Amino acid sequence: MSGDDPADGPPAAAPGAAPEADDAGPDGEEGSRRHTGASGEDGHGSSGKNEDRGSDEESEDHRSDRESEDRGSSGKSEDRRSDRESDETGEDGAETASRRGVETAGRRLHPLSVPYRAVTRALRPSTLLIVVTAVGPGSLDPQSLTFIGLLLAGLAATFAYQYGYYRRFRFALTDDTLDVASGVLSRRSREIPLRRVQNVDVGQNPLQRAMGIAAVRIETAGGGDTEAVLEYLGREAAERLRDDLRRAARRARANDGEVEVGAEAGTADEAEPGVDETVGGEGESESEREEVFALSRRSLAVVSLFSFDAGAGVISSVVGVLLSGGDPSNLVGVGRVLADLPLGPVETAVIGVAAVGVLAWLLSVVLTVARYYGFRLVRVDEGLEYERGLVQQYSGTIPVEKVQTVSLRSDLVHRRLGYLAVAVETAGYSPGSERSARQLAVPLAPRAEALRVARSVEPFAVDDDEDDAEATFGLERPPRRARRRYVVRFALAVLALTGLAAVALGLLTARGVGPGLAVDRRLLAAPLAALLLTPVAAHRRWRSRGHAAGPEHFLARTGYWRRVTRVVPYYRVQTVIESRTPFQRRRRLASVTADTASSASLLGGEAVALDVDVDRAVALRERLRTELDGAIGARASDRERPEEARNADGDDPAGGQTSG
Amino acid sequence: MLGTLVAVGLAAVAREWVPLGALVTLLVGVLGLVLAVLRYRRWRFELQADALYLERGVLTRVRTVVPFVRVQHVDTQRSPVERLLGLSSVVVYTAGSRSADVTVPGLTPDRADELQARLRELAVETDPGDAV
Repeated sequence: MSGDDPADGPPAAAPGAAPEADDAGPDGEEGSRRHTGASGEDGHGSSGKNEDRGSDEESEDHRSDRESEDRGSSGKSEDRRSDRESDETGEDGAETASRRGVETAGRRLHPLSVPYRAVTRALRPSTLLIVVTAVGPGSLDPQSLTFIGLLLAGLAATFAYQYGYYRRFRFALTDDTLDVASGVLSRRSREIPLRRVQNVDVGQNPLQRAMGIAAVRIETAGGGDTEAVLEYLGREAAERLRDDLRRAARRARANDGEVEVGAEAGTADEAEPGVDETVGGEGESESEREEVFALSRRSLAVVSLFSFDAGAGVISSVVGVLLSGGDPSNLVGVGRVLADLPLGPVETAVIGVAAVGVLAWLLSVVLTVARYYGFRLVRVDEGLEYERGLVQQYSGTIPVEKVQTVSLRSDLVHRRLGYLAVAVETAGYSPGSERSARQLAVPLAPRAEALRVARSVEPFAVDDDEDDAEATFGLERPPRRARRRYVVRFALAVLALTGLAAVALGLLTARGVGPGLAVDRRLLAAPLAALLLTPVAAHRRWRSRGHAAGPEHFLARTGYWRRVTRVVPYYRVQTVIESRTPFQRRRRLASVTADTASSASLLGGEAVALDVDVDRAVALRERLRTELDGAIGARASDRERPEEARNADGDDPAGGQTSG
Repeated sequence: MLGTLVAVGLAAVAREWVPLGALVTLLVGVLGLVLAVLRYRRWRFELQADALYLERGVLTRVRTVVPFVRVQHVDTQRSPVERLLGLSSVVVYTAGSRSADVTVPGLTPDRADELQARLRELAVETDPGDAV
């Protein structure tokens, strides 16, 4: 079990942490806290001296490491909050004693984290910059002894520092806190109350996977930021710590009375025999793990073949430009080979660009497969957890209790094939924190399945045929006059573009550069065709848009090529905004936005009912306002009923929808 | 309005370049003034039973409803220009992404303080316990 993990202490220690915590009540005061997983209880070492604030160096280390990790899955914000904990430190004797215990008797990181941290630190851009400056003109000669000496000294110092970091870093899981003591020069010790732990992520990149180490990140509800980072533990130890932490956090919350130990919550607390990954916790409840969704091969194939990864596009374009020296006609071998054929430069260029396009697509397929391979969504206790990745494996938590918006997404092709993706937008708890994130709950799945997952997160009403690709969730389309507006819009856009093109052509011809107007009469066909297509496009857009005010959710849909239906629970609405542009006013239309804490994010986007009839818009605005008040009131007066249980209820369809 | 601007601008081009700059500056100034007046005349805010209601916008009309339950905190702000003119604005923060939108500008400092206090009161009264 922990054979590959020498830093783990006695093998039984970590799982043993949980049973001891079992009966921890709210009365478990600081003084009575026991350290678990420690070889000696509260050793009175000499090191428990000053509890000063964490050094900047420390947090910087963490930050840069986080940068190298999977950003997408965890959505960390850069700024690290200053330590709140340090204000509370050393207030009474018991606390200090317990701290001293952590600093000497807590568990350690994995020894391999020393070389790993040292090397990654040494390769940091800032370090490299210093080296480059040192070698730069007028400075040291890269081959001089001084330089090499300095370099070696620097390396040695880095290693020494990281060794010190390793030596000094201790953590321990107690009945109601996770204590972390760290810092080489200035020491910091931090106590994280378990009931506030929201999120525990275990992350590994390929190198870390090869070395068998993993980073554990702990987030709490109090602030929008990562509370602690353990870099690095052995993989086994990391996963066990994650499970222990989650379980302990739930229990701590339950004992606080914050979570009603009722139906769902209670069953998870009792022993669950036969749950997977039972790590020898005798009589101890394992986390209840229930697979919510697994990406099928077929869905993986569809999502890889029919979506386009933006990164692949960028890489391919860069490669293309580099290979061709900026001239598309030189592009790759294809272009060169074809240069011998009787083809004009334009044709060659087109083929070259096409080659880059194909390259980009292939790359996109590979990247997408690598990203979503083995995607699984698991309900662990009250939260959702995902795993994915072929080369680099990611796992992370979707904090269900922070869900602001569930969005159903489908590109045209996906939609036609009957597929749907589900993304969940969450927000940090603290006011003004920008930590909203969008996480995919379902990369792509047949519509009915995707809807099932989405509704297990937010039980919104689906009152029509789930298998119908154009299913409308009872959405109300904009009035027909909105469609006329789109026709006019598209037509104006076509005319404007044509005008611009004509002016450009005219200018070119006037300078004798262009191919001449006579040749290009044919080109007039393009704008004409586009004009003929505008009614079709307008109709498509009109059909795509819609909104609905359901029993508990506001739904807004938009987009034809990339359709997004956003589902916002009323109690997440922050403000309601109704706006009318002059063009909308002409046709008595308005847009209604339900603003949430997550829509600021770049990826989020707002839930907007576009082009609603003015009167309906006013009604909708008022409806949102009253529903919002009602929903919040119901939630506030119903505090015993935990969000977790409410979300768990989401498994049963529309039935469990009465608010509270 | 824009049409006249373009027409006048084109006329200016036909004649000479130099007066054009002055003209455009003047026009922009006048336009700005007109817009400011219109904006002022359009601006409404109202403390309703459960929400702060704002109405504004000259071209695009925007109506915003900020339920008191959602108010996180309320600031009064005075920019240098505002101080010069003896004005003050009240900024209402919510956890939403459109926080910056909820500003009540152009109040006298006393009125701003009063509004701030009132909003704070109302926000506390309706504390939902869960801000997000």
